Amino acid sequence: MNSGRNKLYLIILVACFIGYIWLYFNTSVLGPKNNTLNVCLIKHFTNIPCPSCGSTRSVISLVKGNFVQAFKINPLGYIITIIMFLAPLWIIFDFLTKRQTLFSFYKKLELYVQRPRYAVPLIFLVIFNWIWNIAKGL
Amino acid sequence: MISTIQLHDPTTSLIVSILAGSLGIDRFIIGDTGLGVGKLLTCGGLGVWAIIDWFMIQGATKEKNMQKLQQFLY
Repeated sequence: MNSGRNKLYLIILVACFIGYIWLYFNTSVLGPKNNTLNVCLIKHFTNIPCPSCGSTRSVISLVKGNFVQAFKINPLGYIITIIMFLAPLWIIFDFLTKRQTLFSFYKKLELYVQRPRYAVPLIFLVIFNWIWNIAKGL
Repeated sequence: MISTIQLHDPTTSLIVSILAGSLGIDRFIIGDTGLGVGKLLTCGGLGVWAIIDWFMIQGATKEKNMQKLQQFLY
């Protein structure tokens, strides 16, 4: 049980760390030159944007305080920002208090999301967002 | 009871991973919903995780199958 918790926390921390570096790289290295680095496999091969294309731009404009612009670019940026901000704090809290509240929350959420009642609307939301992305031509 | 367990074929998840790995559908199929959402939100982990998963997904599928079986063995 404990090893499962530590593995999940490690994955989340590494992902957040790479995310911070990615954001820094985009704002400080690429941003001033107005370059973009296309890492999305789907867009690279088919030229069609994927459901989460534009989330880097969305997160960057959220951090700068442009909430409306962030929503217009990609609403998924809101979810990513919340996770990137909250997850490390939650993990530190869990380690300090020697509990596993985030792990049990994650497991519970996984079970909920797998139920068709929640899964089907969420899938439709993602597909709708994808269509919107293609229409916007991100 | 053991015949009611839904096991997944590693080859199927490999094919899904190659075709739709960037969307995290391979992870959703084997029941790793959390990691699937992670892959979906990050364009397949900036494209890197999607490629790593081409090599990892078969092992992950077998591990998930084992976890399901273990619930009946103990």
